[in-house]
Amino acid sequence: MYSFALSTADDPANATAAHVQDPHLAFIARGTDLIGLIKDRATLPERLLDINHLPDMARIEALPDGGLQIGSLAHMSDVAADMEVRRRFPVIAEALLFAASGQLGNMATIGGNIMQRTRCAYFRDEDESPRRPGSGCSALNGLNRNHAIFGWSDACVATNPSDLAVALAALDALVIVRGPTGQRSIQFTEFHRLPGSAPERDNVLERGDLILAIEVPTRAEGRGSYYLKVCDRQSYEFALVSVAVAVAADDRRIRSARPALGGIAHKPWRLTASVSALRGASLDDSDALKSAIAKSFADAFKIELAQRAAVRALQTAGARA
Amino acid sequence: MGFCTSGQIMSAVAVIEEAKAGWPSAAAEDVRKPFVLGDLSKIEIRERMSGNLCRCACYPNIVDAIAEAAERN
Repeated sequence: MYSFALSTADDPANATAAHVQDPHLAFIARGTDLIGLIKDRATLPERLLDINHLPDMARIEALPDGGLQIGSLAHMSDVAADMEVRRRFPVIAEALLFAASGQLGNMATIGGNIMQRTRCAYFRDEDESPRRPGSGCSALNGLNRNHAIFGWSDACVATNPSDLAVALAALDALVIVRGPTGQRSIQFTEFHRLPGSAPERDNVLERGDLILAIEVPTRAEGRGSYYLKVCDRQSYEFALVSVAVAVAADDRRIRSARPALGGIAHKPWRLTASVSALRGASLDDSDALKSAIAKSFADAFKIELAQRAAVRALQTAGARA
Repeated sequence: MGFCTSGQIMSAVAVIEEAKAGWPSAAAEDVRKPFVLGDLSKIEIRERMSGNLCRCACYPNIVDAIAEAAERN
């Protein structure tokens, strides 16, 4: 039978040191993802270090400059309910509210949310062989309806399930990390990685790294921000496609806009190629907005073109049969 | 019957408490606005209770009961 040892961290420096020394140790906060992964046998840590009692890591601070600092141990529900979060960055509150049921939101932490692992059915399967690094991607020619359309590799086509991550990528947030050599900030867009040939590594954290907080810088676009989630089911479901966007506008004309997509890649996908075309576009001109967004999907027209061409070829060939 | 009831009641009590505390839900039209208990519509109740399954499908009565309890608050 699988068993693990549980101990409690009282100091971030000790927690970091223990994580570096012991490759079979995992941090645990509220465990809403980790316990599920253990039940699925997707990960089997020998030792768990409970970080819930580390001091000052659950605070939600509205910074005087208009930004926000969210401790990694803050609960999703508390952040979503915070009036300053809702006023300054509604996209964050909305992403959290659409992410989980009330029960989960009351348990799960912000740090744990951005650390959650993919929901790929093969990754979570009791059979561990598809998870073994180097085993290839079972979803590539299998159940992949909800998998990546950007940034995937032959080794993995899975998507990142976090709604919050899409919002934080759109807002250019920072992840504040304490590691073996001290504290550092990681750009949110650089935090998650694409699968390449090492899909088992979801993010750029190294052994000993402990997420202390998320910092959201002040920006003109924050207040005009929104999270849209499209799912097979209205509630309590992962995204097929989601959009986090922050817009600054004058008289319904975009001054600047920062869109990011979720549900389509191994990490939140920023539509950087659309940013300059969106500048100056009217919010009432759907065609202009569509063509600006299409700049981030340069070759997407081929999907429709290929299907129509295939139908026409079938009919032409069939007429000769 | 009744297997889900304890969980439904626990969640229902929390739903009303959270609504009284001004917490929004995914059913909110605009999260920037404060939420008050009077905003706890049946759509709100359904969203806030989602994840609690009842295999007898007694959902309409559960939602009605929560709405009635919220009104008495």
